[in-house]
Amino acid sequence: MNELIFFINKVLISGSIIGSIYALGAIGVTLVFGILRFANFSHADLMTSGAYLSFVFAALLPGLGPVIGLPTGFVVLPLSILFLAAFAVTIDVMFYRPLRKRNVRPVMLLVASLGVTLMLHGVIRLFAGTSPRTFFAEQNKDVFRIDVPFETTTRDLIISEPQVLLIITTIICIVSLHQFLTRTRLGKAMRAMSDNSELALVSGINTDKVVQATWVIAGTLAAIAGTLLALDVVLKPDLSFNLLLPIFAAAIVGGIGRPYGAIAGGLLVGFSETLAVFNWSVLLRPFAEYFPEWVEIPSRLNFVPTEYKIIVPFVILIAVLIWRPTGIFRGQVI
Amino acid sequence: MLINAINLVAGYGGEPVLRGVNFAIDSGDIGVIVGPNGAGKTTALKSIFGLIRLSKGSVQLEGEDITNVPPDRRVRLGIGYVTQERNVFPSLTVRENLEMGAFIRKDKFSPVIDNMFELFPPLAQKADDVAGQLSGGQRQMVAIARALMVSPRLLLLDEPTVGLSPAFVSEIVDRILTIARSGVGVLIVEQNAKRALEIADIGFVLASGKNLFTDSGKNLLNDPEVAKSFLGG
Ligand SMILES: Nc1ncnc2c1ncn2[C@@H]1O[C@H](COP(=O)(O)OP(=O)(O)OP(=O)(O)O)[C@@H](O)[C@H]1O
Ligand SMILES: [Mg+2]
Repeated sequence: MNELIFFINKVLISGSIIGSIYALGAIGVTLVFGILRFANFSHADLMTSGAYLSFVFAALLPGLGPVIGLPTGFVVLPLSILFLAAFAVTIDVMFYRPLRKRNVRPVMLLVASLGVTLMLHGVIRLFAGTSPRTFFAEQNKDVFRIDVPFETTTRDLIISEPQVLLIITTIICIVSLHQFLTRTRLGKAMRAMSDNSELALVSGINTDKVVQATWVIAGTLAAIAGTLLALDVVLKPDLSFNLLLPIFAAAIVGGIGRPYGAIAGGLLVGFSETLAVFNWSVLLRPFAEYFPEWVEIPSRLNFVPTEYKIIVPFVILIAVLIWRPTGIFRGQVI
Repeated sequence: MLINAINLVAGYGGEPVLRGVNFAIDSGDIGVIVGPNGAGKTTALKSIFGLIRLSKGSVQLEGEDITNVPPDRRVRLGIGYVTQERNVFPSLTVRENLEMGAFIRKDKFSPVIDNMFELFPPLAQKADDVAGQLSGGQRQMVAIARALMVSPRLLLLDEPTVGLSPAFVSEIVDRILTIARSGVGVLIVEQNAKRALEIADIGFVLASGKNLFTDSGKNLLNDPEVAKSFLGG
């Protein structure tokens, strides 16, 4: 039983956590692609910016968390969301909109987003330095150890408070986004514009407003994903830049432009990673007696060494691009 | 005149596609633009709707100059436009497509949606199906209904019957007559020139970006020269 719990901790819980982060990131990328038709490479650094914003607000309002009984970094999240959403809209007005007005090809917007990402990178390092920081300097990070009521188990299920918050918040985000896209006028207009932007204009849809709403949502999701990721691990300038590849893999696997696909893609990439680096010999060892004698179970048996887990989204991405370029949910071809 | 497009010159950057064409129709009238492929028919509708800039000429809606009004504002002024291709939102349901047509409406528009289901009964059963899965004819109905959601004064239709089975063609033609009878001016681009001119109050024969003939539908049908070059003898 201990082995099973080890599996749940390492694969199911870890997979849901990293999968949630990927899903939140991929939704942001996919929505922007659906509306503006370019791959926004600055989304990961937008997430990092959100995490730093939360760090600043948490430092300004240190007493807030203990009063409510949650990590301060989480309690100040609404503030970071507000700022980052406004920031995302501002970036659009300053950099992307002038390019759109000139009817440039989408690849130019992609290049502009690379510029934005470098700029965000620089600004963060300039003001915050490169050393890692923690949200839990003055507050304890609660870790829940859940005892499994089996006689033979000694291990506990382990999940930390930020991880619980991450999973709950992700579910809330997905449900709200679904409500927004299917119930509200603006949400439906967003789906309409993603379907066919020229027809949206012809129908009299205020496309500028839809674009603005898209950036507000992208900023909101980035602030949430970045902050919760930083609460789970540590805050550093390259917090989410390294996640760019898995996030894009998730968005493309799910069918670019398809928010529900991005969720599925995020979880798929997340679980693939944890399954690939999981040490399977742990699960095999209890059955050692059933194997023929000449079979020796190695001490480590994983598909991919942990240090190389970045190849997992890479392989998924390439496989999808070769065999099903529109992704699971038949999105746009890029 | 409901719409008066005067001496339009427009194109896509190179040589102009429209080289000084005129269109004018009254409320409740059906105007039909016919002409060979590439004559500039679609370009003419785009110019009237404001999707491309005119390098010369002007467009007037009930005497008011709208030459420099952007397309979304023209929707507000009462111009509905059904494009030649990709004219529904495929991943939205039929009802959502109609709601998008009513995006600019501030009032409660559910009665208007009900009117559309009355006008196009096949859509009522498909209200909650996604438009991408409908047949070509039903999709065309969704597209026309979507454009009618703003209760336009002028409806622009680009090849509304192309590729449809004869039964659907009759149905769409029938609906166009109903729409015009309700007082809406309808300007149609049609490949099927003969059939379209039969219902036209006024017909415009376009070739190489110029008005070749402009007359009542009946006169054009009976004109031997028009018949020879455009109606297949
Ligand atoms: N977006 C565009 N960019 C550049 N040239 C275009 C564009 N759209 C149309 N043209 C050109 O303008 C000319 C007129 O095109 P238009 O679509 O108005 O013709 P049409 O009469 O509607 O033809 P059809 O019967 O095939 O629909 C054609 O030579 C076409 O190649
Ligand atoms: Mg055409």
